Amino acid sequence: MIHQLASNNVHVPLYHVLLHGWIQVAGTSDVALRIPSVVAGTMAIPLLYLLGRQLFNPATGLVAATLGAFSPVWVWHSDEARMYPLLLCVGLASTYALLRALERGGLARWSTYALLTGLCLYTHYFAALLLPAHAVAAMLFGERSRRRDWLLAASAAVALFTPWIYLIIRLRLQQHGLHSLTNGAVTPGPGAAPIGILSSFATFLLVYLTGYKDKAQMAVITLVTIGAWPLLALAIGLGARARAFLRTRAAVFLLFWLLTTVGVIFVLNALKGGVLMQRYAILASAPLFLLLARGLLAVIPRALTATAITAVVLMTLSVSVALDRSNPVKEDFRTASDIILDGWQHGDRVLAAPGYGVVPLRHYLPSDVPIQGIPTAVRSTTDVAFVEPSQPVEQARSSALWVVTVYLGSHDPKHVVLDSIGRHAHLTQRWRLGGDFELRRYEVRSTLVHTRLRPSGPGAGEAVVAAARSFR
Amino acid sequence: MTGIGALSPHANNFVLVYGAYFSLVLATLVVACRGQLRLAHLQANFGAFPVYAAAALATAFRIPARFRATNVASTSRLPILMLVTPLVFLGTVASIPIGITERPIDARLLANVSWAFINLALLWGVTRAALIELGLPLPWRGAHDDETDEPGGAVTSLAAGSVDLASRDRDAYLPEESPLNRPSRAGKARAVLESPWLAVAVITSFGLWLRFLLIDAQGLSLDENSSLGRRSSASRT
Repeated sequence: MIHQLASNNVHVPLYHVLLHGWIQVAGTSDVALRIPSVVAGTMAIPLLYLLGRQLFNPATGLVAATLGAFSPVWVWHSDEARMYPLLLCVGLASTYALLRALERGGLARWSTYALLTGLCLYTHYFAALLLPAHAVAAMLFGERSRRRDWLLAASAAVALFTPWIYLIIRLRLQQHGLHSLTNGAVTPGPGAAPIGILSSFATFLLVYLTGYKDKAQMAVITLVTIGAWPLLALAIGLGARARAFLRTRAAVFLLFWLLTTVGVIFVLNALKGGVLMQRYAILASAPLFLLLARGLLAVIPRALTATAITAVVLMTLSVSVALDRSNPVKEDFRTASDIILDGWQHGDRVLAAPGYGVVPLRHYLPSDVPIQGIPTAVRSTTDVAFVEPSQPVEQARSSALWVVTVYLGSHDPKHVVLDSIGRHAHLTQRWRLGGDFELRRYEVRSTLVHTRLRPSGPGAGEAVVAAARSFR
Repeated sequence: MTGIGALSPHANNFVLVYGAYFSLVLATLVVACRGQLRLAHLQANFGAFPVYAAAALATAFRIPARFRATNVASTSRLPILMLVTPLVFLGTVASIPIGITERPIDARLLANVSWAFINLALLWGVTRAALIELGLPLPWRGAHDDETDEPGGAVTSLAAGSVDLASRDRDAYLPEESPLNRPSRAGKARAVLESPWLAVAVITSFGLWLRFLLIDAQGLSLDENSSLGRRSSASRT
């Protein structure tokens, strides 16, 4: 199993190993698959409180825990069968264990820290970004001997991770080369102008509070936030408390943790697009929430009031983000499958663009429904490929094409796929099920059967439709 | 007065240039005041500007100007002028979303939004005073001083409002009749929060409930199927 995960997976194995065990007990229903994430995401709430209490006081911990409990991003990913809530939970536990070990020392505490950090590294590759923050914590909070202890414990954690690195290098080099670790997705990086970088950075962090929203809404929210910078300047410039706070070790540690994590991912995104995602930097939301909790308590000093306001506002946002069909990360393959099955007639075909959309559709559609993927390319229209038909093209009058598109804005920005299909088929209905997730129903024109197949280029769309029609 | 500034708001890096300019001005004022400058001073200057302007114009043009002080004891009728600043404050707040939705999102709009926030910060001094005069309750009254920022530091009582309660009340009470001794609904809620772990348990329970409420809001995503696929393919080996 580990061999399989190492050779065919871009992620580290802990979550999938746990999920494997869980499925033996609970089965593979949608809800059952997500329960481990719900548990891990919920456990992160008291851990954030502990961190806030350790760094500041219980009031800050409580408000930060409230921010985490109802953060739309935390809630969203806690309801996903993915490793991010586990990363959050183990990362926070590791950081809390570090602060306790730096404060009190002891073999048991350092061993706990080493073990938790090792597990964190096995949860996601970006967990490695926690180590520089921990190094700064050791320098700020630890005495000389404790710093040495931290170095030993961190080395032990890295040593725990070494077998996986060895396995990855050996298997990947033998099979496909290390580049196969990447997922291949390329998205435009942030603008190079200072204002572009500033707004990208602000938007990235704001999503932890607002949840995933469409670009227009986020542009407005970002503009208001960036526009409010004079308030921050006044608070720091004229507020003795704000300046005193920024000089504390806890503030330095949190700011370093936040800026390093997001900054490294930002730079990585400039080198290779597609990594500037909130879920990859979900651990950075912890220092963000702790700093926000301090700011909130400075404005609303009553912890009860601050907690209540935070809970109501964020809970409303979480529910709206989960139900909002303009949510850019919503991928409702289940609803798409239900709609397809409601209108299904013999001879209809289902296309998924990009091609990997076939996998979730296959999960929900019966095996006798033909589904075919349309590979797409990001960089140019000539890269659009097609799937070679396995059988000769046949005439199928009055059949319909059900086209499911997801993230087509990134994968096919020039609309090659849809334009090509539209030239040979008549769009009859369209459902928007997510911000970048749509289902379209086309009536296919009978003349299409004479369309010549081409391997790529401008004719690729015809090939796609013809291939789909030939597919049974 | 004319709307003409030394810095162009058209440039893409306006915020960065103006940010540095604003911070330098602020730093100069702080140094000139030997660190004693507070936002309240700027707000008071801003609030007094119309009086200074009227006095200056009256002097320049030799107009006999008369200034009146508000009679504190008089509560018979609402002074209309008192409403001007809160209304301007509300207008400025409203102008931000209206401007963002009505105008193209560019550097110029960002500059205007920044100015609006500066005006809000300055207007707030007079607005706050007016709201207090009007008898409106303000939940925010400044931060507490009993907190320690060091790890493992002092534990602050979560019933942070308990001290405020005594000072807010203008009447005098015997100790046994003090409002602090009367159990109120808010007091009971605060008492719940006095036990931090109980409060965390409540928040965590609500968080768990919310996650279960939304757990089936959508079907499995691409990535979740990928997780399932990894698990399945791993099981077959």
